[in-house]
Amino acid sequence: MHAEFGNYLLVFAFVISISLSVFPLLGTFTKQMSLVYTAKPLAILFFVSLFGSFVCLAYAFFIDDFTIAYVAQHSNSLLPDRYKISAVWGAHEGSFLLWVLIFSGWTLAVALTGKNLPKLSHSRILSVLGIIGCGFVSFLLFTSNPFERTLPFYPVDGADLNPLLQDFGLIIHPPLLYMGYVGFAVSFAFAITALIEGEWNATWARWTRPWTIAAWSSLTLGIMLGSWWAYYELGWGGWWMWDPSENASFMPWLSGTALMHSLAVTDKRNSFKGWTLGLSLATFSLSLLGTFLIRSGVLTSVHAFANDPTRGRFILFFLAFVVGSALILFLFRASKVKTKANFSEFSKDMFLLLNNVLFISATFIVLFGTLYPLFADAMGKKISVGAPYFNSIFPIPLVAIFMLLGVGPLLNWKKHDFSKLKIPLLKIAAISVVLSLFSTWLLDRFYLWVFVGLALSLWVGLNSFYNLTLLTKYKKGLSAKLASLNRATIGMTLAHIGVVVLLAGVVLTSYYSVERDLRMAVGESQEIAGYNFKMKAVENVQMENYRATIVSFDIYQGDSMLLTLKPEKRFYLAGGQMMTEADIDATLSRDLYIALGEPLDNQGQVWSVRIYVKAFIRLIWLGAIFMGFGGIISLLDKRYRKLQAKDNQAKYNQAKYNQAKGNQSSDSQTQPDMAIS
Amino acid sequence: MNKSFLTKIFFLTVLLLLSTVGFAAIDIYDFDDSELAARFQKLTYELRCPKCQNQNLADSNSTLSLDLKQIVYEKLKAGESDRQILDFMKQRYGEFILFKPEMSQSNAFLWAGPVIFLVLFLIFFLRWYLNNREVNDE
Repeated sequence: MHAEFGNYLLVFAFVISISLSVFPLLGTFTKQMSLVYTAKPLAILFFVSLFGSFVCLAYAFFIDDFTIAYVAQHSNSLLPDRYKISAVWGAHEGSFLLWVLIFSGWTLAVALTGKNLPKLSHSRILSVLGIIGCGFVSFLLFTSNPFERTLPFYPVDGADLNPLLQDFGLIIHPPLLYMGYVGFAVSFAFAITALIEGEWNATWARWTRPWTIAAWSSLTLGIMLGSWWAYYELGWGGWWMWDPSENASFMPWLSGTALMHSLAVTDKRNSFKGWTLGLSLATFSLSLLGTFLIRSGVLTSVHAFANDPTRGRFILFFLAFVVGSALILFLFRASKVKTKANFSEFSKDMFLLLNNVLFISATFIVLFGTLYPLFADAMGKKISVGAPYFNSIFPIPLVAIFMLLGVGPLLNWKKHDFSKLKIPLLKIAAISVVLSLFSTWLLDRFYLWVFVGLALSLWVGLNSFYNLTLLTKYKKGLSAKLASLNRATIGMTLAHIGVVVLLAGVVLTSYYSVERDLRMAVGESQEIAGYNFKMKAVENVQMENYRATIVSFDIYQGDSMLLTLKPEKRFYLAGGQMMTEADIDATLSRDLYIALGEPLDNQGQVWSVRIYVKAFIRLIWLGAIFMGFGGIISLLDKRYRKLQAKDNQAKYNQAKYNQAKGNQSSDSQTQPDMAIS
Repeated sequence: MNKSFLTKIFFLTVLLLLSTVGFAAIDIYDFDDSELAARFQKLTYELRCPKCQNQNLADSNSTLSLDLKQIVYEKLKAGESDRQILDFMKQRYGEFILFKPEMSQSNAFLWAGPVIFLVLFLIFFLRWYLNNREVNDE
């Protein structure tokens, strides 16, 4: 029953998405207001039907309905309930249903909050979202239907969820990540609408900004969770390996970062509209490209979904359609716009645009390195482009970005008097270099990259604080100073501090971490980086859906015992997989991390063990959390609401004016845009 | 005497031997020289496990990558250079095994591409700026 109902709701959502993409858009051109007004209810229905469909699938997991193929393949009667729910998005079909659901959630949010937008624009935006939604839903319905049945010969029990995914990280990582990926569809739809109307101004940028920041913040947190999950779950002690699946999410993140900054220029200075429009289109296109790369299996990744060429072809066509039509529209409408460079070389405008040049170049590096093996393959050559390649190229734009980031926020728009900043900047640069040298000296060995990384971190961090003191210099007392800052500034500063923390974490963990592959027996011990790891005991336990061998290690520092870590080797009963479950003790300055390898004797008393002492690795995720929350805080800025109020006021005046004019002449209906707004 | 009894005896002997060595664990890839250990780590990060999805030798526990790690270990011990070891692997498994593509003529575009992009983009931007400048310098 629920399977049919869920499937029916999917079909319904498909029909709704077609209606949403056709009727309101048609109405805006034929000036039929009854059609224009269908946008909002259709958007609501779109979300409701997908939500219902999602609930049906979750219910099927919950009651172990193995007549549904997707449930049978990815769940098991022994699977704990909390993982049954997250198993809904544990593989391709269900995760795409979640993807579409989240997309419809964004559509709903646009439908409900657009009261202040001109009615026609609002409906057009929703229609564009409808077109994209239609593509997504048909992909789900025609190539990846999660409700397909195994009837009449359904299995007695399911094949189980991949044990790697039976974890808290999987419950929250995909929803946040997808919120980021598809969130950029909103700025895409805003941009397409602006291009259709041939009119884009600062209002358009101001409207797009919060949506872009929201999507960017979710993507930041989603990627951060993925990195954290891979670190503790895969037993490899790494946090980023430039796997195609990571790159797929990193490309829209980089380009989205560029977009956020160029939107600031367009919003405040009403310039660079063509450029910002192009970036809005590019960012969502990169989201789609990422989806294609991951879900088609054209690239070898640790994160591959089940491969199916029809799926790949479908996404490729959809990608070509979206990018192609966006590009054509862009070339026809926006290419003739001439932008004047009305700012001096030392100004916030200049620094933000250089930020864009560098972030786009960084995006290009990731895109190029990820796709290059495909081109090479087409030429008949098999090569790998992995972490060492990216690690040697990526720092080039990165170092430049950090150098500019120290200065940019301090500057005025249009023109800044450099002579006033020269002395403080030189002082801060000197302090950064000295402090960085001092810290690398404290950390027992000198590495050039650690010195550079820490110096850049200090440079940006100190400048951020300097900026805050400048902004609040006329306020007396700390609380008055803090109260005078608006949320956009606080959010921006927090995000920039986050970047600083992340960079420091990256260089420190890369150079000061220790890793040892050991052969250890019960009773033996090993000193690593000042800690003494002693293998204490081996025990076997039986859990809900797996058997585990737990090896406990006592860790001493000097003579005192610090703690006990208990890494596990698990044998999952349903699927028969062996899994390594690392155990970690985390503090800000170091992680102690033990992962079991293989038993080396028959009694299981001797093991190959991998022990890491990871220096400052927490800073990486802490920094990313700062960045994500920085974005969220800046979203709460009064400015967006104030501007909305101002818009309302302007529109109210406009309406009054129209009314007055309408009383004089009867042909005011020829301007429905104004009359309705 | 059955086989399992023999293996037990064998492992007991091994354990006894180990206990005479002392209560310290042993590095699986044991180097006397820390510089050699660092080179081992670097090489196993730069070599791809040919059978796995997308993993280097260091992170992979497949039988093949254990074999390859052993080869790298022995070759380092025998005093071979990084270049020699990478070349050996390349000869056996093709360029695919190198996670860091060689800076050779055929890979020139791969290495230079991003740098060219960045430089051209910067030049393009600065040229646009200088040609379209419109700021009153009062």
